[in-house]
Amino acid sequence: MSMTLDNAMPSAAFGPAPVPVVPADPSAAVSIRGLFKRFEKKVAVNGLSLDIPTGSFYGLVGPNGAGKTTTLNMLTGLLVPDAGTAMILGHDVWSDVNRAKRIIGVMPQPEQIFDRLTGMQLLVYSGMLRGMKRAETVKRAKDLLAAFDLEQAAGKMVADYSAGMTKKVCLAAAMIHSPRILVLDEPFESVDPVSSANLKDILIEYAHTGGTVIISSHVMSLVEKMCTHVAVINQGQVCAAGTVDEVAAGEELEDRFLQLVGGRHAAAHLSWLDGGADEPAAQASDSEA
Amino acid sequence: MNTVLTIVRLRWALTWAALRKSVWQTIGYVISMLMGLSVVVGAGVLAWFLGDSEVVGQVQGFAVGLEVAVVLIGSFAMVMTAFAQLMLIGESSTMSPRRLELYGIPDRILQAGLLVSGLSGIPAVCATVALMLWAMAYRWMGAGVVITAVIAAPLAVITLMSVSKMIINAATTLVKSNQGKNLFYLIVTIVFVSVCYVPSITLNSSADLDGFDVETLAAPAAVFAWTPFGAAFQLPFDVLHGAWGPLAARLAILAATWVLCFMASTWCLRHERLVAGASTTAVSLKGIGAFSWMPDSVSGAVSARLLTYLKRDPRQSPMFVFPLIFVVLFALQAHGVTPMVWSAMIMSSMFLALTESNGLAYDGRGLTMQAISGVRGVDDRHGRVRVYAGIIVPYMLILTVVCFIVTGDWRTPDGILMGLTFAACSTGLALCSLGLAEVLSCVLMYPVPSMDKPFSTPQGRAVAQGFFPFVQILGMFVLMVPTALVGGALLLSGNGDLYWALIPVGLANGVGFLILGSWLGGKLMDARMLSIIATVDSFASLQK
Repeated sequence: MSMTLDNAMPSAAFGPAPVPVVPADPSAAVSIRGLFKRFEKKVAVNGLSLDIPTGSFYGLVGPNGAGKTTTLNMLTGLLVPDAGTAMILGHDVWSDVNRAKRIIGVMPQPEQIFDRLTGMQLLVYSGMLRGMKRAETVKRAKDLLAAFDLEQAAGKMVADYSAGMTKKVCLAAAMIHSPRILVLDEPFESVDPVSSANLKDILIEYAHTGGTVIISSHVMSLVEKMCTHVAVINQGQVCAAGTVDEVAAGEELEDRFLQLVGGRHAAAHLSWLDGGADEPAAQASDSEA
Repeated sequence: MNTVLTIVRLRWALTWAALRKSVWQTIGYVISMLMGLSVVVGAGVLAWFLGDSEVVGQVQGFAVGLEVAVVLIGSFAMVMTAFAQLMLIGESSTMSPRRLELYGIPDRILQAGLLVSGLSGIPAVCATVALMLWAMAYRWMGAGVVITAVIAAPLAVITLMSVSKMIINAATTLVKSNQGKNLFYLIVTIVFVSVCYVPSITLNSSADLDGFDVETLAAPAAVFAWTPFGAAFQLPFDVLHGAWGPLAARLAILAATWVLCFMASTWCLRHERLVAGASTTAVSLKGIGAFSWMPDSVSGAVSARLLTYLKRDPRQSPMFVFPLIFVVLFALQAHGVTPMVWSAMIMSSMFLALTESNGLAYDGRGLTMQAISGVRGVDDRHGRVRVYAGIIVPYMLILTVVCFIVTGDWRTPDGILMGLTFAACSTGLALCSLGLAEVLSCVLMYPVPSMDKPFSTPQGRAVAQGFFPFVQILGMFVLMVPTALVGGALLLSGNGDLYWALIPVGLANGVGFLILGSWLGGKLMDARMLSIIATVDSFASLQK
């Protein structure tokens, strides 16, 4: 547990966490201190603090409802925190939200895009919304469609895309303005293996050139393979953070994750869930055979 | 039967759950119950007075008049309700057959369950009770007639429900492609608006025939009485006339209608299930469309996106057809009074920006892209105003030309001046409306159906949908007060013939509030962007 910053101790269930002891780090790509968010009676993020170094490929992992998406939303200016600060490349997110939004590239969820536009239109729209010039946007959109194997579908409405293609075009929309930080929520979900291998290459290449990638994911093997750093989030707090090796502490990351998060129990024996072995029909057909 | 009852129970369980979850839903529900109750009470009271034998004796030809009126009004109400179901209410999103398809319920039972659950709803129950109370109006005709009317009440409601369900099913199942939906919705809207005007045009054009003539209406009433729409209303009168043959025939017509509608609906369900997900022809577009010629800026991107959507959105495009329909309808009723035709332009300007007053809800969750990219509110408002003003101004010009041609007012200088004044004030009103819409769309949002299913109702829409557009319509007239004041001053000072001064005043009035509205809307959007996103997210969950 030495990797956590200042809030490893589970604090009381309600009320903002104590004032952070370690000040925010302006040299980091992302520096979060004491972030807190409550939805009615449920505390979603409970005084979370985290530093993400520039140029890292950072994975956020945690069980469902751990607070990953809420944290990312507060970091990217899409949700106002109840308390705490978030800093991107030395700039406080909430003192000038639009400036922060222009530095980062957030991948929209498939239902958060205008899917009646064609793939090409969507990318041009995404670029022009960030104030890019049309000519440059069109050029980059073509490059991105080629890189994501979407050239054939460039003129089709995104609503007619498959789930994986939609995911890819969402990712491309987040990259078109060449942001310094990419924030991706479950980027590989429903993407086929070939495309996802190509996506990974693009992301790794981007991180090598100094860009910072932050992904949230459930797929532990993927995080272990691609990420340089990882933070395990549970119940709205960071319970371990650091390089993948540090967090794994000599074990498989998945085993370590289960230890940290808990909740795994012995297989419950459901006597009636028997794959049909004592169905009369099944027995009858067996005896006929 | 068991499954049918389960579906009915499910419907009510879902309703209760929605009521527990949202105060607004509860308020909406209470209001609709009060409305239902007032219909029931109104029908009862009216029937009580009309059925009084003293009243009956005083009016000559009362019996014939009542028969014709009941059948005609009843049929008209049935047709209108079926249409309105399609346009406004559509397939309920809570009880969509698609949500139940995982359970392997046979199509027939599922269809029966949906029909019965529809009949157990408040509108159906209220209508049945109201029609049953209406039987009191017949009490001077004898017990047999009253009993028949009481029995006919549920028959009429079942017929209406069967026909509505069948029409909705057919519309959802058969109109598949996006272009098809767009066109279909447009046609339905035009037909609906035109049919709404039929009684007014008929009465208007027979007005010179010295009073209202029952004889001329008896023939269409007799025809309607043989259709599923009017048959149930004719049944009590058949008993009165002792026409047992026609009574039996009409009952057979009703029964046949139910069976046919049920079969058609079931066929639609099966068709839907079997061919669902079959490939629809995807449209392919070369280039980037509007994105290539709109200004090269953030607001240009907003404009291009909005224009592309307006073209592909069956929920918003009918609004742009209304103005033309109004001119045609007003011209039909004008009888040579040309200001009547010109006033259609004022009606038109009310509608052109009506959907824009809820524009962000029509955009839906896609709006998140703007939030992610940090688009300033003022850029968004400029982008939207560019598109709408670009539609409104040329449209008003075209309507002006059309009105000049229709009225022939271009022949005289006075006519030209009057026409131009109407045109300028209407354009000013439309621009005021747009300016107001840019403010209201950030504040008063209400749920809209999803683009994929323009005929469906998002839950809990009724209250807000009735109230918020009213704010927009009322507000745009308030904003035109400066022009009205100038007009009033001219009249009071005896300078009424200087009315053409309203041309520049009306236009300046419109442009001024448009500028003010876009600026204020931009500020509001900056301040409220995250709550706007949260609101459209919550609307999206209502559409599922």
